Amino acid sequence: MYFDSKGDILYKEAGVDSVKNLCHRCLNNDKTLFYEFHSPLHQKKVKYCLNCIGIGRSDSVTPLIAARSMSRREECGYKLHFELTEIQKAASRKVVEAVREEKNLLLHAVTGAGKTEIIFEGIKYARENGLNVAVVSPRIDVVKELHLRLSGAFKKSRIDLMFAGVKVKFEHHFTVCTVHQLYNFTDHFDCIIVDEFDAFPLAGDTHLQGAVHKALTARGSIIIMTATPTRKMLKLAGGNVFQIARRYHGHDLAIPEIHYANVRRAMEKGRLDAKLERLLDGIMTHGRKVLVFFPEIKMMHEVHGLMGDFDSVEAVYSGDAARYVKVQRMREGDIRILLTTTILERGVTFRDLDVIVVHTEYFPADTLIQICGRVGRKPQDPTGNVHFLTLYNTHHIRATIRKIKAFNSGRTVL
Amino acid sequence: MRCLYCHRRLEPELHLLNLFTAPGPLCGECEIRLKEWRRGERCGRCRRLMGEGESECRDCIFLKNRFPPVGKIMCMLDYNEEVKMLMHRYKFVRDIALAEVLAQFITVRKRDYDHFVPIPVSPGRFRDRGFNQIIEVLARARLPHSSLLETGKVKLQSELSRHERMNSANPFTFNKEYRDVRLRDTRILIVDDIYTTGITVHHAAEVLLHHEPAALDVLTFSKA
Ligand SMILES: [Zn+2]
Ligand SMILES: [Zn+2]
Ligand SMILES: [Zn+2]
Repeated sequence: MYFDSKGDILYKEAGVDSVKNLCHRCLNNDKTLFYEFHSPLHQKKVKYCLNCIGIGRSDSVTPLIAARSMSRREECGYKLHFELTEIQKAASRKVVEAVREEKNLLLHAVTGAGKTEIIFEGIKYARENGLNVAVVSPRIDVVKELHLRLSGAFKKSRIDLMFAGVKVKFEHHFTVCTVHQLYNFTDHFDCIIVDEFDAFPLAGDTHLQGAVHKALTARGSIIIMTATPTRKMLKLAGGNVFQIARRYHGHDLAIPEIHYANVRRAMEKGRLDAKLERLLDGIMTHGRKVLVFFPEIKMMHEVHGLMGDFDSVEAVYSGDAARYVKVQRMREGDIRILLTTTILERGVTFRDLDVIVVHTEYFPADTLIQICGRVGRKPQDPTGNVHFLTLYNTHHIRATIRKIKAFNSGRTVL
Repeated sequence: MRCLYCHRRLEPELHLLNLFTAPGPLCGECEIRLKEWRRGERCGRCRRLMGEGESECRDCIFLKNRFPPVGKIMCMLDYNEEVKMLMHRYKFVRDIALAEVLAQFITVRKRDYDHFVPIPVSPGRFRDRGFNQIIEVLARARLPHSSLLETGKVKLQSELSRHERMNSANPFTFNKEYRDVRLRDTRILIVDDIYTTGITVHHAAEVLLHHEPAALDVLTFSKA
């Protein structure tokens, strides 16, 4: 069942029981989460629920109308523009298994990296078997992104989208929405996939978890995707956890080496910094490739101009129209030193790659961690070297090194 | 007690300074976020964010040419993302508790004016919304209101194009129930929720200025 003013079931005379302090829609019974006022329209006191106000007002003067849940099988296909990695395929099989066997599952996965694609096969399985699916997140930006990706892949499916003021509704067989929107559903979804489960807003989070359970059918499964699992989540998953914490070849990431250098000062004097030059020399003589990160485009181009002694050097920046061509040439070995101001797309990997970061003191830790994750992505070349050229050691550099060490010891994901 | 904007529990620390004041309806964090003004050059009169190279506010120039002048134009909050969200929840989701939040930002005192005049809502809108969004705020700020104006129009200002708005006929009429109330030489404050082009409050002022008040100022909750 789900609440919808166009439905044909009169579920309750009013959404809120003002005597008992109970909201029939979200089941809130915390009396501090109701607001009572004198309504000039009704000429009497009206009470409404603050807990679920985000999805429209549930109050003591408006009846709660519902519609019966339906299920329908559909032919369901999707398009994937790249092949899943082995570990993604394994995760995907695990999702299908959870849906089929009506189990909960915790996907402990790296933020972003192909997480959405992992659930495609499970969604397809569910829809082809007439199961209602919801893909939800507490965060609106994540919901929008999920909808974009899912509607791009499942071209023939009619996907509902609901958040804040936005409502695109079909029959709720395949729904993408914020967790809040689940308050409108009771015993409706056979499979609820929660992305960024850890991002529950501070206030009212216990209610939101209740919303997931209320919306789920008795035998339905909950699939949680998170980068930071908590004990509560592990318990919810009943020990059924799939971890994509380590990269698939299972090798350690290189710990960055710190070198103190002032590339800018040398540049201003019209010279290539000696340390940078020595590092590049070493990498070239070993027959490897290198990505050199710069904090700004202007500096990158100026340093580029000072690298006449090196062959096969190119520079890319985020708006560069030729970036894909350059990346391809780097992959083929035509370019061996690639200067860049931007992190290349996920999935871009090179063999025999080292990384140099210039003026590392300008970079925040999360960027540095992503940069380090680029190195040694090919099983044939598990660990490349990472060099941080910096004016001084920063808190962000220390945090990066700490994080990589924790990753290597298996205590965390990137 | 809950923050009426984010619904977080409020645990006010008791100390000498707040021992005798009732706790506000907002947590400190929400208060800061709602009070923030977007950066940029602003019109000294209506506080509109000016375009680049704009030396005089084009809205104020238009109003000066088209309408009789009003006194001060006051505005409590900027229309930042947080305020936009608040207004949406207040007016369209009908989260009327937010009237308490808005009331907290009113600094005008009762003795400053003889008449606080809310911009009216049409009967149709009143039925949909269930309240007049200005009156509810004034009431929670403990300010009396005089409903000197009426309106019957159905179309929302936000549904009109800029051109339509600039040229529309005055939607307000004087409420006959106040026929016998003296307005001459009194101080009137027109109150509206959002000041966009200023046309709405100037239409309201146009009607009231016929009654020759001594002062006629404008207060809006937010400057779009
Ligand atoms: Zn509720
Ligand atoms: Zn708050
Ligand atoms: Zn102006």
